[in-house]
Amino acid sequence: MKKKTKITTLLIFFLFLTFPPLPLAQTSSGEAELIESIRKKVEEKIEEKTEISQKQKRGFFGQVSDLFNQTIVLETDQGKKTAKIDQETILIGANRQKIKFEDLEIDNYLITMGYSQSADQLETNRVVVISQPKQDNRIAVMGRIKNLERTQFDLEPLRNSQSWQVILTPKTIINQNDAGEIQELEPESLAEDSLLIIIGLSEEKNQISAKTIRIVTLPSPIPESEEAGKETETEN
Amino acid sequence: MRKEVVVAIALGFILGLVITFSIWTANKAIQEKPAPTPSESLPSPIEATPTPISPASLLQVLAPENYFISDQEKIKITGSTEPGTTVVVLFEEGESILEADETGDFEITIDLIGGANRITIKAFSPDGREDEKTLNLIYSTAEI
Repeated sequence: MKKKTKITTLLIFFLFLTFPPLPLAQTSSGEAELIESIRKKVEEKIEEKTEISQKQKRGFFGQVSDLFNQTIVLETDQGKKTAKIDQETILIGANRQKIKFEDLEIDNYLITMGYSQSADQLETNRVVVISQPKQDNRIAVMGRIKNLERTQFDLEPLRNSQSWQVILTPKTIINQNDAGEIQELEPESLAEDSLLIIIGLSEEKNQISAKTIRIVTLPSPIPESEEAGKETETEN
Repeated sequence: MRKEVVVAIALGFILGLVITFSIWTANKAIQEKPAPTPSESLPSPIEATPTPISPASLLQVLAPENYFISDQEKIKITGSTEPGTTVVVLFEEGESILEADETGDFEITIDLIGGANRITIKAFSPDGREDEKTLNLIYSTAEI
């Protein structure tokens, strides 16, 4: 009887030993579940962040090209933009009075402010009618002085072929960046072949009335003898 | 040797084999599970689309973003170009010329006018290359 008990105990012991592989086999499915839950959490986080970034406060401005179904289509300098309005959108007229969507007209110049859903679409909270901005005739060009005269010279660009006739006025500011400090200079400082950046008004083709002239000083290359000296110093 | 002992040894041997087989099968199952590929390991509900930067691009405006609404009159514009490049900023009430630092970075604080502001930023490299970006910004203190 005792021996039978021993055998039974032994059998039960061996049977228990068969269980450890089962949890091991489950580990793989457990890992999959863990990966899946992490994946879902990451997806949720990304969706959340995307929603926030997509709904950033943004504004468009441009000329109304179309009006329909509480939607304003604006022609901007960077393409067509759509602004959707709803009952809560505040619309302000040119005289700062509150207006309705029906009061808007094609060719009105507007600022629309709200939250952007995409680069070209806006959920609009505020619309303001403004007067159309004046055309900005300012340009900035770079080139070398040619045919220098007292009140004008030609500016020859470094890369393209279009040259400019530059007119100097009594208000023209001429300056130079001298080691981080801007030094104002007289018109006499201008010299043939000087490299310039000019900001001016271009009201006539190929002509600039100069507002600001910056004389560009290129970093001078290190003389060979000096370089050799440096190398010698390093070697020593 | 008694008959019971022989039976016990035989049963023990069989059980041992069963256990060994179970462990071997479990290990094999774990090892054979394919490792997640890089595309599987990272969730990609949205495909990342890096801003295409043209190799010829000389100028990058880092901040603010286009169509940003500022509730402050002053705004800092930061960007990146090549060292030695001169940057011209044309804003509604003025213009400014500045040089990029030795790493090619630049920054300038400008004044905005109420409402629409069109800012033109132009970079000129010493070898004659040019690049231009336009920023449309709005200055408004109204609650949006």
